[in-house]
Amino acid sequence: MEYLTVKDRIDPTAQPVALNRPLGLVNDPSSRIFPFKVHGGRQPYDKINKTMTILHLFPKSGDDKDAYWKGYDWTKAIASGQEYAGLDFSGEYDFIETTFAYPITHMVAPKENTLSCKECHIRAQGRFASVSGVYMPGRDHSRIVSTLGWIAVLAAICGVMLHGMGRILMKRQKEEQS
Amino acid sequence: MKKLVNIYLYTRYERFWHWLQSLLIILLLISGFEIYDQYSFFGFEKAVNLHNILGLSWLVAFAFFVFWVFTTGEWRQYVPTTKKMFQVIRYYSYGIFKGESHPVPKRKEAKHNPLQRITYLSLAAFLLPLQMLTGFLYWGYNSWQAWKLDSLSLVFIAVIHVIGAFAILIFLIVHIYMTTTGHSVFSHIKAMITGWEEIEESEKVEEWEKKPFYKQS
Repeated sequence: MEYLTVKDRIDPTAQPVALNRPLGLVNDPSSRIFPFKVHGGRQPYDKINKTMTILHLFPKSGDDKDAYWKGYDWTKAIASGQEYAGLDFSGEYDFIETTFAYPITHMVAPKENTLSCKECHIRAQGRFASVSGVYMPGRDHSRIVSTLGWIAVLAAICGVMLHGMGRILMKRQKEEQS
Repeated sequence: MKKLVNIYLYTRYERFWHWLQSLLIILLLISGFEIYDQYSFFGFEKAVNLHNILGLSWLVAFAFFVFWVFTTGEWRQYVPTTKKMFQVIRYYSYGIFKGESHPVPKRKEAKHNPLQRITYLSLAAFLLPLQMLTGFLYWGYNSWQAWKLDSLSLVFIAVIHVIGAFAILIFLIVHIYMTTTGHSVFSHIKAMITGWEEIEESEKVEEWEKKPFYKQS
């Protein structure tokens, strides 16, 4: 997994920001297919420094107004959190759409909904439709081979039927003559 | 009309092998084309499992066939020849409609006419082993790295395997039809079940048709 840190610069024009993402390549022998639950979030970021922010959400004591759930003030909550982490805060924030991929210990589907082979190994739009660079039985095929193959099979069937009918006809003709 | 005699053409193993292989091939074709996403029949997972088991069984059984073909001298029945090839092709494309008799009737020493010889040899020595080889490699895809076959391309193996499948399907269609060209529609099929074929008695056996060291099995 690749993780964004709170010190990394983000691009607010490219939303959602991926807070983490799984790494792996289609032709890497040690890569695996793995289920993830992608959590969509909307959270504050430092508008000037263009970084994600650490938030002080929960009050440490009864009158901790810097905590968001006590003071309901984002600027105070962000400033407090960033200071605690030893990081800068420009004072200006905005909200940004984010994604976070949880490995599938969370929201495991019931067994009736487990994936069948056909969800990926299918010629029509399956889950792997957009993955290129790997041959998948059931999903991929050579169009030329398929077309010519079935034409040849059809030709063979027609050929033997015609041949057979010819024999039947000629035999009948012979019997009529004798 | 020549006298009809019964000759014992196909031994027990030969008949067993013929029907076992045809069953394996038919089931492999049905499961194979399902995996190729042509239709739904067994269900993808069942089709894959069936195809794997049948394919590997075929490989093992074929090894017995190869042993038998060489140790019993049966290989002589597959030696290709061009002698009378034209007559045979002419017979099947023209003569058969005229009611002519077969230019190369079956004989114990020569069960296959020249066209059959080249066809069955191409199958037994080339097409079927190629299908088994590509199938085995396809099945072992996840082990290619361990087998030092990294440079192999799955696309290449898969496409050849599919071409082979179409070729075998076409052969099957033509072959089943050709079995009806005996003196009666079912006489050849009956012979492959009982082992006995009814043929016209003939005095002359060509030298090249004889098998010099043919043993009764």
